[in-house]
Amino acid sequence: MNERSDIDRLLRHWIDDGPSTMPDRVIDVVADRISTQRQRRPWRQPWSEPMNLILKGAAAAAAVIVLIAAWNLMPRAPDGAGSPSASPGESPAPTTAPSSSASPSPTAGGFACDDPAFSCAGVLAPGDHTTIAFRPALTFTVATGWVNTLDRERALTLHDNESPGHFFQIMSQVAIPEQNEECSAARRAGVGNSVADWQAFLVGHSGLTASSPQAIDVGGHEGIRIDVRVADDWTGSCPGSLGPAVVLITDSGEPPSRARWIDDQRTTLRIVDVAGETVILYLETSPSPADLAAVNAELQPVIDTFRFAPPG
Amino acid sequence: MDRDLVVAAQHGDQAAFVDLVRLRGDRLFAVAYRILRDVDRAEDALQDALVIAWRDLPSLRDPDRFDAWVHRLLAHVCIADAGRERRRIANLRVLPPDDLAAPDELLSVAERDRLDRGFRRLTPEERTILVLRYYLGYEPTEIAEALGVSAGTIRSRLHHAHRAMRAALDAEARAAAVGGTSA
Repeated sequence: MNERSDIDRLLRHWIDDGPSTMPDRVIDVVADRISTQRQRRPWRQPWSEPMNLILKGAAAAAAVIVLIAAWNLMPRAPDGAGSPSASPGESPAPTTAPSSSASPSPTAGGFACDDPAFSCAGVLAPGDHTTIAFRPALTFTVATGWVNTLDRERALTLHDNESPGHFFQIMSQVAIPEQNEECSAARRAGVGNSVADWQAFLVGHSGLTASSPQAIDVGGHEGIRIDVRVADDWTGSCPGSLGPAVVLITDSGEPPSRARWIDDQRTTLRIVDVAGETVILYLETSPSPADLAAVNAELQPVIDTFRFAPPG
Repeated sequence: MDRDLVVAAQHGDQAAFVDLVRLRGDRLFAVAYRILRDVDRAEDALQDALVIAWRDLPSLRDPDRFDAWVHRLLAHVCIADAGRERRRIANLRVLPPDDLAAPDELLSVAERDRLDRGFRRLTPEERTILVLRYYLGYEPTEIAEALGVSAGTIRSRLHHAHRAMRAALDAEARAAAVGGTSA
């Protein structure tokens, strides 16, 4: 007893001793580093989805319109006086940002649509909801506090506004990826897209530690649930990843344009066959297994209300 | 007030996050130093942990748990760093840091030296457990939560670390008594 108290006392005293003031430069370094470090919104990242050509074209067209408007509004120098220039102190030409599609851009609860080019419903009233753009169309029921931040043809994002520490998205038009150095969108050749193909991909991936597949039913459609994380001995990484990373999903477009990867997150994939179309219910949480279990428990009552319309 | 800073930082307010760093930095640096026993490495580990904290802050579900959450991040960064360093210097003789040589009414210089040597021989996880226990005053259940292992595992490792430190004191005392060293 005395020996134990002695060593406790010695240890406490020894550990207490030592520097206890953070060097000032740490603040400067951290301020500098976070100025270039984007925050990882669990419901958005890591998510590589480059602007498609239509959006790029629309952005370019909008930029041209803004430039023309600016040109027309600029004061003109006398003829032959060279290039026009704004006089000092003058307001710059108005630069109206190109308006996006009919996005409500909700801000209730501090959240806007994930992508201003696509609609979302924002804060959802308790009750039934049916997706606007997502296909296959999905009807679901939520209680108070749920938010929809993306509703496009191939992706629907839902999260609990009170605990946004996770990313939950329903994805269609998915395909099994081939990981490259950039972790860009690339499909694996020679594999199918059935639930069984996905199971083989996830369970057989040397970069993943996967749970045993569990048979599930979502709205009358059969599927599997698998929990995955990056394997301890995996060394592949992605640009911007926190250590090793594995690309989990790409899309079936030509060419594919999105790639979802994970690094230290825990992820649950519910892969469901909806009348021949593979749909993935994708949940990503913090590295804590307890967190994954808790969020799955929160989500399950909502998933239990899912009703898919037949594709097409 | 601190909660407001956490919430603001979660929504991307960099100034709020820097204010949090000012408020919490000394404590965090002290923890990092005590695990790593090196000022420069503690500084680097703290910077890395804070940048990760900034990046992942939106995933913090309860802003009131910020302190525990950031301690957990820091502990993991320090464990990773200590693991790398341990492999690198496994065969190097460890000298006591200069700042531990000051006279002390409770600990002699020789005892400090022995404790320092014993501590450096512990695994990174055991070092972290001792610091969380004796510096932050965490209970085993809190340490378990911070490190993501069971409380039973923590108690077991704490017991082992405790014994190892006791043995370090005793063994080196015995070695000194017969004129040897165990560097």
